[in-house]
Amino acid sequence: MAFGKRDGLAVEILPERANWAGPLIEVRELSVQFPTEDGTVKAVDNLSFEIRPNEVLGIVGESGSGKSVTSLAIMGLLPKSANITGEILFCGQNLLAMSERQLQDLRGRRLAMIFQDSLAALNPVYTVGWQISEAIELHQELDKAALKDRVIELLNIVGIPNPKARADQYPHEYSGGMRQRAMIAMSIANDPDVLIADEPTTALDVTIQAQVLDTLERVESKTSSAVVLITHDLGVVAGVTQRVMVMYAGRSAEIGSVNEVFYEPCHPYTQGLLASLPRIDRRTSERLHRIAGQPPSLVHVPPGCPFNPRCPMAETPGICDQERPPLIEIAPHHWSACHFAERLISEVKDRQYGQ
Amino acid sequence: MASDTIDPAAGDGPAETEVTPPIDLVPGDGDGDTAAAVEAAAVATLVREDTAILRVNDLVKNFPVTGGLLRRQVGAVQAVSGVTFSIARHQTLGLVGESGCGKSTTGRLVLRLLAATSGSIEFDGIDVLRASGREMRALRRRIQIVFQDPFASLNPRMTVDAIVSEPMRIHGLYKNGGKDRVRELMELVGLKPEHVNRFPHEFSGGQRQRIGIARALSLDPELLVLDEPVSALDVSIQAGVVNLLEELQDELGLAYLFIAHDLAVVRHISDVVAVMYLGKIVEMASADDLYEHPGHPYTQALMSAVPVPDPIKQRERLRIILPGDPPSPVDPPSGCRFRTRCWHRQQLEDGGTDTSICAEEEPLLQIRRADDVEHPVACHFTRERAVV
Amino acid sequence: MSDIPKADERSSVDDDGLAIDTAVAPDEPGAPLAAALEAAGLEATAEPVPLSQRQLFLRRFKRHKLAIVSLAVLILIFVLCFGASWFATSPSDQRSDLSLKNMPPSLDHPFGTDYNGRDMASRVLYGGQISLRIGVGVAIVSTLLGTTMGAIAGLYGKWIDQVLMRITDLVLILPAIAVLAVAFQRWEASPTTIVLVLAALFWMPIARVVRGLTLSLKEKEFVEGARAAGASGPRIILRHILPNCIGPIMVNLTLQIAVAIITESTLSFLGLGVAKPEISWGTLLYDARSSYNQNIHLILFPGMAILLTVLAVNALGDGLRDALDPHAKH
Repeated sequence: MAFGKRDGLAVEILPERANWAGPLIEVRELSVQFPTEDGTVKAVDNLSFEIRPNEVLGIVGESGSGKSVTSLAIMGLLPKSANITGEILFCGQNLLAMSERQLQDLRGRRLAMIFQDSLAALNPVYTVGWQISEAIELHQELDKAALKDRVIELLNIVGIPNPKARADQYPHEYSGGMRQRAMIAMSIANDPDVLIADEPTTALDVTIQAQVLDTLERVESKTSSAVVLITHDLGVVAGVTQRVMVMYAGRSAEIGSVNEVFYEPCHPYTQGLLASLPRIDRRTSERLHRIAGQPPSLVHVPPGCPFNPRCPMAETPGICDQERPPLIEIAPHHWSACHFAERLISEVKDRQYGQ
Repeated sequence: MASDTIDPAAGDGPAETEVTPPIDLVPGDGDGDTAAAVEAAAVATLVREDTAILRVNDLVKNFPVTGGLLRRQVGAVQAVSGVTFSIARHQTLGLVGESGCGKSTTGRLVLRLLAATSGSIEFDGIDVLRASGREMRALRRRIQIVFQDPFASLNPRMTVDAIVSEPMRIHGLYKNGGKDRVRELMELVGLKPEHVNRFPHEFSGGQRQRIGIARALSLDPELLVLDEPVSALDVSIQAGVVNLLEELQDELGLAYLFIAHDLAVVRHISDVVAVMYLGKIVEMASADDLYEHPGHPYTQALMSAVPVPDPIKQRERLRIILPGDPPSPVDPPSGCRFRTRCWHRQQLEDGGTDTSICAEEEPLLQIRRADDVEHPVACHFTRERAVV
Repeated sequence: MSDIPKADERSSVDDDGLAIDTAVAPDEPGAPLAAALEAAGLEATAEPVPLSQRQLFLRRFKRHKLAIVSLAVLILIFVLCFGASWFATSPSDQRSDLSLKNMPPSLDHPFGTDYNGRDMASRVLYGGQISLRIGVGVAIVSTLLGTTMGAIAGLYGKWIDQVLMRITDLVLILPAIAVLAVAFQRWEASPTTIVLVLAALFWMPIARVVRGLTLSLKEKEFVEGARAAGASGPRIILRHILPNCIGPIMVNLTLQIAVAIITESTLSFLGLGVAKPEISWGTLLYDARSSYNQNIHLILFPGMAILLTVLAVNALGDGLRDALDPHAKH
């Protein structure tokens, strides 16, 4: 029934997840540039990070940080005009060197992605169950009974009640939150190694957002997929992720565990971001802390550290506008790209222990 | 993983065992028996009548739904269904709710950008809905609006000078020192006056919002309706604009109707907060009071759904998951509109309480004697629950 | 401010892919100003780029080589036709000389001569004056009329919209030939009559376009803001709606020129053109209708003039559309 079944070419050259020790995805010095009529947009600039098996990684950044472009680069979904350098190793194989056919093999099977406007991606004339089984059949051979069982199992994982009955319903019979869950079910149908969720909750009402985040947590606990959650909402990241990468101007500013990034931030941008958030759980203070200036132009990125024009502790002229700060490990598995990271981390720890 | 989740759809959650009767109502003021009067009295406990610059009473807006061959009205979208609130001078009322609750419509009704179906709006003693053309023109100088979308709210073909000065030109006030006033406004909102001859596309999102604010202030209004003014901005820019709004309020003595869905920003900037659901206000209180002692199940669910940027806290909080979508405003549920998704009612039912009153009688916004809840709540079974 | 590095404006990746929302780079304002702003808790503002919309438009237009060539060609045609008195003989001054009848192109007569021995080149140039005047006239009048109707229908809606749209439908049914024939009986067959009649028959497409644009624009927040400030309907149309329709209006204007010229030529060829002694490219075709077998030059040159003008106008319209609205999918 499935049209154009994949022939498993690329899947064969990759080791199975269980046989692979080490990070699932290693992004090494990734750079993505786009030519535009105003100049070259450096959307991603020498970015390096990794995605580990079965973890939930949050990629946080504002508009222009490069977080979406990064995920599209991993999936191989960037337009042809994009100029991409660097490596993206998936179980040791470089995704950027693969052909489109090999990538199509991987998409849906080992690498999956859900987007912000997933609602529009559900076909109204087919039942939800049919659409999920179609996603499965593209990559696997299952008999009818096994297929049905798998569909119900998937609906269960994402928390849709009465999965047996719901599988035979059409998308319009689902509520908004349930449709989002159905989309997630489709994306994990083949038990991918990595599920990338690009701003899955951004346009949603907060109560629906809660449903979707709940679903992602269930996916994380009931499957062995790694989940990459891309968002600008720090609250979302705090509740769902285990590790966080903060991006700014196409580079990573800070990478660490979620507790480290939120309680011991050692990059001025992270600190500024956290301090500028109004809190639902605190009495109103006088004024919000703010980060001066505007997000940078990606065509004319400030020299040295891209955050230097807005940084309260920048040394300009000095090292901050001359040298790009390297990503250094200031504590085990906690990296920061700031020339003064060491100073910041000791200040943060002093504050903590001082209390 | 959350330690404490209430998810009626999954059929879990602790069932309440004690039988809770409907909460005793605080006896009314004797103003009259009508629902609107009762609600007005409740609102008056938060905003005293003599300090109010805007008083809205039982405001209703229905959008007709046409259908059939002859295109006659077959139904109505009940966007706003009897909303009562007041805003005190120099203060901010935050109006929160999710999409479709009617908060944006309410904002536009206050400005009479839409015609109301019924109800009353009183601005400084003037009846807005029945004002004549000339009175309305005068009113337009005193109530202004700032929009959400920094891209769509400025005419891309007009210079900043033209945009900011347009209200003045419309009212014939530009001749005398209008140019200076525009420069003054630009400085007031933190922009460089030399940039007045530029076009909107040359500015960033946060700067465009500031231009919109400058325009709104150009006629020296007393009340600003702000419809999601920071929702479309990056987080690092939001703080700047929010601070600006607060400073302007202090400096110019403005009152704000702050419409938003971001509960954190609303808590920060508001003095009084009203929560809307499906065209009705379900709870109203001073900001801190509402967030610390919410009484309505919807408010509680809403707040519990807002993620807090604090990992440990966020994972240990009580989480309430609301099932499904909000019902259609064309055909809202009878009685309490929230009852079809109300987790509290579910718990009461499981515990043996008879909740048929929820379907039969519409709960009014009133003060109810319940725990620490001393502000108006529209729920028959008000019960406080701390969720932040 | 001249030593501040030139920041760039919002860049967006068009057509090919993602819209990357970048803002402007912060400048380095003079230290005292920045400090004062910071102290007041206000943002140190960025330096937006000085590229105005006009400059943007010109830059995009220049990339359309065909449009630039077409513009040059059109300018040449206009200059030649309206400056014809400098190098050609006016038809009223031309004398019949049957000895020169129907001569093919030569040095003396680059376009040959007609059945009366008159110089074709002069006739084509002078004829161009009428054809072009009619073309531009129809374009301007029909665009003005259509834009007004469309904007009013779109803004005021309800029954005004219904009435205007029904009028539009009615006019669509009318055949140009019949109307023109009737008009010529009542009024003289002058260029003015033709312009008015054709304009009255051609305003519908732009009316629909402007109506559609108005409907979508009036929901935009900047229009709501103007209403909130007390702006009246006409003001909203003139200040807010129409300036944002410039793109389609300009494009329609240029394309109407082409349509009008062709229509006029066709009608003239059928005998419903301007009355003698006025000449247009169409009447020249009419004159040549029976003798084109032997004397191709009689049809060739007027025909080429029409073709060249229409092609150039169309290409110009394309270029304008691209330059004014680069994100439109076409």
